[in-house]
Amino acid sequence: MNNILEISHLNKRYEEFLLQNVSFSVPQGYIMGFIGPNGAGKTTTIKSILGMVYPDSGTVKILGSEISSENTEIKDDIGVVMDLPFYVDEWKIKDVEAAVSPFYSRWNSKVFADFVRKFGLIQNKKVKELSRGMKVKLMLAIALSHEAKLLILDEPTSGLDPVARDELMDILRDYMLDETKGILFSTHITSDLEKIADYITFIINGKIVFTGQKDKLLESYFLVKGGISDLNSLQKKLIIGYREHSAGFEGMIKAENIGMLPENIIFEKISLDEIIIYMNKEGTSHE
Amino acid sequence: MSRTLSFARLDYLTIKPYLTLKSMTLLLIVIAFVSFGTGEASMLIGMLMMYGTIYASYPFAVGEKNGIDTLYATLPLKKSNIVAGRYIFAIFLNISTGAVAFAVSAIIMPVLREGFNWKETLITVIICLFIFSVLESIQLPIYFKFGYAKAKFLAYLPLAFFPAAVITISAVAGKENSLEFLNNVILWAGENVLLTVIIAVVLWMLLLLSSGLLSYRFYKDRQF
Repeated sequence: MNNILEISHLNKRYEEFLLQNVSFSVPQGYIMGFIGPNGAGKTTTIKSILGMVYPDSGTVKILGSEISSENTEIKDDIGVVMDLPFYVDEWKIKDVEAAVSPFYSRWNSKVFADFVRKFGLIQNKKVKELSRGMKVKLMLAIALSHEAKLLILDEPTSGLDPVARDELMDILRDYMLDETKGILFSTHITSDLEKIADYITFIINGKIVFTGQKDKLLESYFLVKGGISDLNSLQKKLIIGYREHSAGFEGMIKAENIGMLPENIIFEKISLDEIIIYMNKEGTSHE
Repeated sequence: MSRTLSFARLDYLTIKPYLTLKSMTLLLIVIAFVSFGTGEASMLIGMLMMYGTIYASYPFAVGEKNGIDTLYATLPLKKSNIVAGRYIFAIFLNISTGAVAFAVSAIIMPVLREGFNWKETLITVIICLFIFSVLESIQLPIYFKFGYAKAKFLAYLPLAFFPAAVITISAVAGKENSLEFLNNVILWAGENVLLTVIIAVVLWMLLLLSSGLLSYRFYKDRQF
């Protein structure tokens, strides 16, 4: 299996934040969800991929080619969608196309026009006049009109209503019909990833805590609930993000540790959102 | 089209929404009014070319407001393409405003008392082109280093630098009146047009080259 994106041992030190030894890869033909709480290092990692920040060490390879300030040719193969558009807000949609199209060797105006029509964008509308959903669709139309092999999405669904998010998921599914492509999808809205992601990379406090198949992650942890007196002190230590409330306790536990808890404890399937919450609680409780 | 030229075009597209017919007409009316008031061709040329210099900083201002560095990061562009493209755009603006200033002078000056002298007008345009290029050569590296918002104040300091430089040079040359010294330079240039053009072009190119290299050095280290 070839990797479309490979990040190896990325380190970046800021005054109050440290990205530590970040390594993961996106295989061709798959969608990688990139999750973590605010300030975990998702955007710094994405900025490193795009060359907007320079890592202190580590490498970023796209389709086997290492990206650097001098090797930017590979960006011909990348499409980027951010939470906010990076076009001049006074530009009309046709100006956006005029501005970016000369830089892409495989730019296809017909494909762009088709997407503009399909997404209900109006050529004469200014960027600032578009709704948030339309702005995301504009960035997506640009990203999909030059045969990008890798899509990098940084919080594209934040602020979108469920209908617009569902439309976006459909577009991404269509894009992935070509198995030579790949998507790195960073988001807080993990329900989107539960629908379409194949792999998950989970980052907390600048460190990768999990990277692998989504199903494996969801099978690795369980939600656990019970009475406060049900657990002894050793068993409590097995609970990730242990929290007591009036009705008892709750937390998360690794699947391999389930057998170490009493039988009367309740175990439930866990969601990505809950994994983030409990991992984050555990992370901050140790700070 | 090379990526550098495409970038210069991108800069033009960045400021295009602000080059409206309304603002251009207003500008021409103000300039015509001042020119008729003073009867000076150099005033008209200087004002027009000054606006060219102001517009040369617009890609930084508009770009910063719209987070356009992220757009550059998504495109297959080297930082050297960005710096070279921006200088080409600034030169294009200077030459365009110089050409417009020459043409407008040809229309307005015959109406004024001094008439239209194409040779003097051309020399004035070349001198203005040189002066504003010097100004931009100082400003652009500052913008590349700090970005528009942080550099705005610093970048306009060179405007104060010019009168000081003229006074200093004239004092060194033993002249009491700096304007007289400047007039002598213009007169000399008028009598030696070819030599003036050659000296101006060589100095202009050297200046832009060293400014461009400095801008690249600053910009390649910037992170967003």
